[in-house]
Amino acid sequence: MLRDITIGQYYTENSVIHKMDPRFKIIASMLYLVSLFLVNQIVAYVAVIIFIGTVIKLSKVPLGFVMRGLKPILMLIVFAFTINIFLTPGQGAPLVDIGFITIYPEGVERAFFMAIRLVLLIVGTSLLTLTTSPIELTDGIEYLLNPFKKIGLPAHELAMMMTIALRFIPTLLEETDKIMKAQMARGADFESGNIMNRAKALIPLLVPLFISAFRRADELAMAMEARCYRGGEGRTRMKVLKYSRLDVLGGVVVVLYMAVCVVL
Amino acid sequence: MSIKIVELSHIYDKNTPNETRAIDHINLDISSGQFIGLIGHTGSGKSTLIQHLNGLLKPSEGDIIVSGYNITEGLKTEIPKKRSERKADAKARKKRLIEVRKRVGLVFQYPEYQLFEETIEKDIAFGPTNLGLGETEVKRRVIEAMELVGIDYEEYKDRSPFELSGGQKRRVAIAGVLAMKPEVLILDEPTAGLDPRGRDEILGQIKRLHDKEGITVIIVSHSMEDMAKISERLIVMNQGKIVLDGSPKEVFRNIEMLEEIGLAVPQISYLIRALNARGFEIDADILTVQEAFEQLSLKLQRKKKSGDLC
Amino acid sequence: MIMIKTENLFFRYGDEKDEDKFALRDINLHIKEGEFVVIIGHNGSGKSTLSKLLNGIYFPTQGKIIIDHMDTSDESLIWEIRKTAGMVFQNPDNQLVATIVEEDVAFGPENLGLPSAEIRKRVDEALEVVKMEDYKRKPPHHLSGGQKQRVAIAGILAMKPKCIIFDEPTAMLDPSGRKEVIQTIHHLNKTEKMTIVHITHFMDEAVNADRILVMDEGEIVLEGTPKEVFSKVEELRKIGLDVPQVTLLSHELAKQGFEVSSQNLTVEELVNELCQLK
Repeated sequence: MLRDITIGQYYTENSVIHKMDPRFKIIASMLYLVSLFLVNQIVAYVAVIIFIGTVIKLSKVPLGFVMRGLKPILMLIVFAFTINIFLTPGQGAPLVDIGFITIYPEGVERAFFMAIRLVLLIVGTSLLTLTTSPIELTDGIEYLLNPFKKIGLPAHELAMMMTIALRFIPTLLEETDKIMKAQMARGADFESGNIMNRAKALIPLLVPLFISAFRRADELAMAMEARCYRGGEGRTRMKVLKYSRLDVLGGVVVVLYMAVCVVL
Repeated sequence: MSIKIVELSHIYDKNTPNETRAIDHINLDISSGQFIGLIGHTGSGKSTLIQHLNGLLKPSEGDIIVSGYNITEGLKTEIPKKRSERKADAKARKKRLIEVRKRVGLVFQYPEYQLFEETIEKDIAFGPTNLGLGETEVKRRVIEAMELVGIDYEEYKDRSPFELSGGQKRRVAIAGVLAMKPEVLILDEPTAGLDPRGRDEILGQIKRLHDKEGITVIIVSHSMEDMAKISERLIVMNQGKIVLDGSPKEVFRNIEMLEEIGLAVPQISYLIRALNARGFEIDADILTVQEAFEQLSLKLQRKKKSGDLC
Repeated sequence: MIMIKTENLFFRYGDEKDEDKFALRDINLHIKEGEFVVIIGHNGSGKSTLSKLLNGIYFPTQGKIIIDHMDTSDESLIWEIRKTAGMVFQNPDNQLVATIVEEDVAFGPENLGLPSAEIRKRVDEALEVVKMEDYKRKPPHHLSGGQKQRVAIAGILAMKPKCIIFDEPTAMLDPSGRKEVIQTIHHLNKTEKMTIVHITHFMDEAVNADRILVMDEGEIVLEGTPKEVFSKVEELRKIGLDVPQVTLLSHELAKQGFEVSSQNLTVEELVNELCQLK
């Protein structure tokens, strides 16, 4: 069951979007998020949808795959939609007025936009992780944070922590599965009982898991030191990030897109 | 305690591109009290098979009957849709699984990594307590299980399991399963990572336990050498199927096949084969150094007199 | 030329209260450049502790360790020492840092601050030596234990060490994984002329060594060529170690008065001898 979880759902392809520099993609995604909060008209939403639709098309990631990211927050979208539709006060005549339920046209409009905005937000961010491998993503973040090193931000350390976390997530998931099975073989029950019982039932899983994680951390630290790791100082990289012509082109498109959003 | 496996198959990731048949229509009869070595390389399906015997994995097809009790029944059916029914179903499942785990004990690879309690006594008591046994019975079983693995109860019961050496930790973990008093004991590579002395100790204890209590033992191993020494029946798996099944002597006659599927054959088997190729005429099914020594010294003495050996 | 030298080396763990309880006791090593030395001993015999001293992870309580003319107690040389004597550990999972094979191999050279073209070249070369070039874009958790261990070896090779210390690299592997790793180690010694210190408790991995050191209770109790060491069947069994089956059989036959050398290690050697016994 734990095998089903995939972290940083990277979709292997060789599209123009995949080839872009991660730093550019991170910045572009951030601008895109900003744009979502700028627009509030149907025309503008159409522009956003055309833009993101084109990006999806270029990325060669199947639409179904992109939409999968919506599943976990479907409830949230429905919730936001309902709240907005019922609780938005309007000036004109209500559309529906039965007992305590009153729905104004403004409410419908707002609920609709809210739902679309959330969907677009998730689609945009999952597109970033779908087209950028975790390692590129951490590299990009490290580079982008570099200027903040001067004010004491540990950019390299943060990136290293992210890399190690990504590296060990599959290992620890596998381990969780194994320990769970081992305890189940000893009659442990993780599935039934009330919340208190279930929380208690987790102890035989969590204690060994923590011990193992600490042991791994200890051994990894030793192995890293043995490979001459001494922090970010004086360290070079095999792959140096370089902006290409593609990124410049992308930059122009994003700027144009932002201009359109602002104008609309 | 006999085990009967009928047409058992297990498919991982069914209906996805990664679909793999980990075990493939396995039929197996294990009679009560046998000592079995289950051999195969990584990915041959042996781990998947033993997890079925303990109800940890649900078969895709087939049945497992442990002394007349079909342990797969009630596991295969779909979870009911209705909430009220689901609760009753979960309860029934739990009851069934407890019945299964009373009968079949499973010790995982590197079992020391599952220890979690503050004291050794509490840790070993975890299994029997989960079976719903009373306090005095649990205590009795803990004492007995510790004795079986050679760890003194009075001296160690209040110590933390994490203070022990690697080999001791493993024995405490095995005791945790023994205390559930299974009629079938399955161990997945109980000697992995141990040095020769630790390996001999653990295998010796399992052997003694088998002889004394008369329980059925199945050991999963990579080591043909160890298994040849202690088991009475060897089952060799490859690609989800049983490819060889018989006494160690019968199995070791198929050196070529064993090599082909990537298993290491004991050096002594190669020696016998090489000697026989040079006309020594030694029994082809010799497995241990002791047997080889006896035959060779006999042959050499005789040839010393007559004079022609090669 | 001497690659590794220890002089009257004693080591006691920092948390050990008993002043006389040394984990290592009077170890004197001379390992020549290009030599393939195997250290065997059971768990707790001090062999892993020794390996961690050679790499400058621990420091001697008494005595000296010299790696390629450098004293490990000189803190300014520590990175140079670790670069010279690389180390491969037991657990294949707990020594890989990156999420992609080639990024992991690059980790060491990146730490050395090499230019990126040089790192690229070294990574490709190292992966080729361990025959893992086809997996360079794969995540480590999709590899088998033996493959992970080979990636770990490539990670060390990319730092161009003169010597590699293997701390029980096969203890957690299945037979085919063990074979892969042992073949790689042999290749490094024979073809790449690397000095190898291989620590193990599997005696069959020691058969092809130039020299074997047997450790027990923190001391070196036996030393010599594989033939010399394994012929001491009784001593080895007393400290809980195995002997190759052929050696054991030869030993038994010799004890019975047959003209068989108790130094046989391989099937061929014993077969040839037996054939001459007319």
